[in-house]
Amino acid sequence: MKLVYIVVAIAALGGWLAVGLLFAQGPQPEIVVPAEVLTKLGPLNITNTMLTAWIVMAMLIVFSFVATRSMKLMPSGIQNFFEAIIGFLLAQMEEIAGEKNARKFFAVVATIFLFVIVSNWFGLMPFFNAIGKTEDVGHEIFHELASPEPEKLTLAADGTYEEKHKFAGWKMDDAGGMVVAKSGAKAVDFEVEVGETPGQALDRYIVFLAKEFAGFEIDDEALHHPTAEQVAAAAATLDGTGAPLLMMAEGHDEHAQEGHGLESPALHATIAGVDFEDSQKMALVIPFFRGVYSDINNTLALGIIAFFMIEFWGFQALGFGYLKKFFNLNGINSFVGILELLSEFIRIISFAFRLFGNIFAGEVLILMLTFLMPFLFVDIIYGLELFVGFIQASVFALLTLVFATMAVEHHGEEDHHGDDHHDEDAAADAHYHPGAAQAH
Amino acid sequence: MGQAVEALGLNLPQLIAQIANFVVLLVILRLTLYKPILKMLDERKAKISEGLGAAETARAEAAAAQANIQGQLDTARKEGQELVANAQGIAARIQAEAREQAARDREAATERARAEIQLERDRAIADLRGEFADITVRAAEKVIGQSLDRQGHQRIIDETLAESSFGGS
Repeated sequence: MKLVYIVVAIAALGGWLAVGLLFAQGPQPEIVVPAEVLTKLGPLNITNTMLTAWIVMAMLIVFSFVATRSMKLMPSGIQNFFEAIIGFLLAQMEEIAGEKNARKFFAVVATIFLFVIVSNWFGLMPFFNAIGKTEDVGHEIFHELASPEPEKLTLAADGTYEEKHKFAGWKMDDAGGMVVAKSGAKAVDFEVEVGETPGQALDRYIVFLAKEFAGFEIDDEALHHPTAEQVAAAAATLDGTGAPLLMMAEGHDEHAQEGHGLESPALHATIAGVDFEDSQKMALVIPFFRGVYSDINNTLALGIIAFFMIEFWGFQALGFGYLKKFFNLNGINSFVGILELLSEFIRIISFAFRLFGNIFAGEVLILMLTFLMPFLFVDIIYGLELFVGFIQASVFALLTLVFATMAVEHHGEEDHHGDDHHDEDAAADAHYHPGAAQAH
Repeated sequence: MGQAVEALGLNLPQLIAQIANFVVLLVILRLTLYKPILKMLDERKAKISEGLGAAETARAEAAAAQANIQGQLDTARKEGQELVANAQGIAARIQAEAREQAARDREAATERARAEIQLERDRAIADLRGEFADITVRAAEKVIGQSLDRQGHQRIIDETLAESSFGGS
């Protein structure tokens, strides 16, 4: 009897996984490290992480406003909720930094904690990395190649490309407008290489299109260095199947001279454009929302703020005596001081990369699993990410607090107070075991 | 370095914008969240400690009042007991006096009765004596008047005695 149950359970799980694989598989993830730009505002790129950061800020501000709009001595509802959070944070901080310091550091540390944890948890919402606008990469590549002043590529004076650039996209039905990333979309990437002329890149692009969209068979080596015959064959394949079409310019018309076309060295013809069929686009979904701290700019900003506030509090508490920690002439201590100074700056980097690495890796993991094994396994990762989101927020806030507590403490051998032993012990613990706290 | 920066998407305007975002959030949350809630927490703490103090005072006062009442009750009970004891003493005395009085009255009455009886008896004896003498005198007169013998004498005395109502004792 029991065996039957187990078999049924396994069959149900297997069926569930199969349904996921057949009907709910995510698109092949196109992992882009920099945050995608949604629009530009002067020199500022409005990226999807920036947009998400604003939404998180708005949520925090609105909810906290509502919670404290009419405070009652007998708390209830949202006021109670926020009071519990603030009370918890304050109690934890008082335990580490002592009552006076906890009050001083509270606003900054609590803001770090709240901003990070709400961002991380909000980033687990299902619409993250899924809904976005599409970018028509197929056309964009041709325009970049054909343009004498490309935006994403850098042309050297000798007419070759200076830097590598990867154009990433999915084979999609549609381009333009707002979409939900379709299940099972195939990633197709085209890379412009260093030292290539636009013409050579165009030839490779033709072969690439023929291979990906028209089933033209060619090996990888030839894909990178196609011969003229192969390019011609690829162009013929594209012509034959009809999708996508190369639009040939007639002879030497004025379009070519204006930079609206590009001559293919292999075909000895000027190509005025590429036309994709509606069901055969090469496009990329640029999600509207992406985890705030999967962007190094945001984590670095937070790290810089933490660094700045720690140094500020140090100076505020000790005046210029604060610098004695770093610059002194006490034999070996002068060397230790330099190391200390260095570690202050290294903290920014460790702050920034710890948070960035964890959150970015979590997002990639969720995207990869929705592609490989939608349903079931990804749920486990979601649970794990909830935990990681909390841990990372705690670690960032806690380290800021501990470093700040260390910074405001009196150093030097002669002034060791006996009365606030607790504070010193806590700080000393953190001081001597920084690895434990930074292990995450 | 430059390539790493580009690969990670580091971008100065965005970095500055994020720092600004944080500062804005910090300032606003300070106003809308930390200040009011910390104030409320402190206020509540003060209220509670105040309330606890007041409760302590009230309890001490109640205890004092209780002790006071207990003392008063004890005093009252003692007084009551004293009163009762007094009353019982008085009652016993009154009872004893009454008993004594009654005994004395009874004695007096007996005495009086006895005296009266004596008096009556004395008077009766005196009366008898007078009567007897009288009878004797009259008997003597008769004797004298008739000069009688011995038998006559005897008869006369008997007649006289029979005439008198003095019959016995």
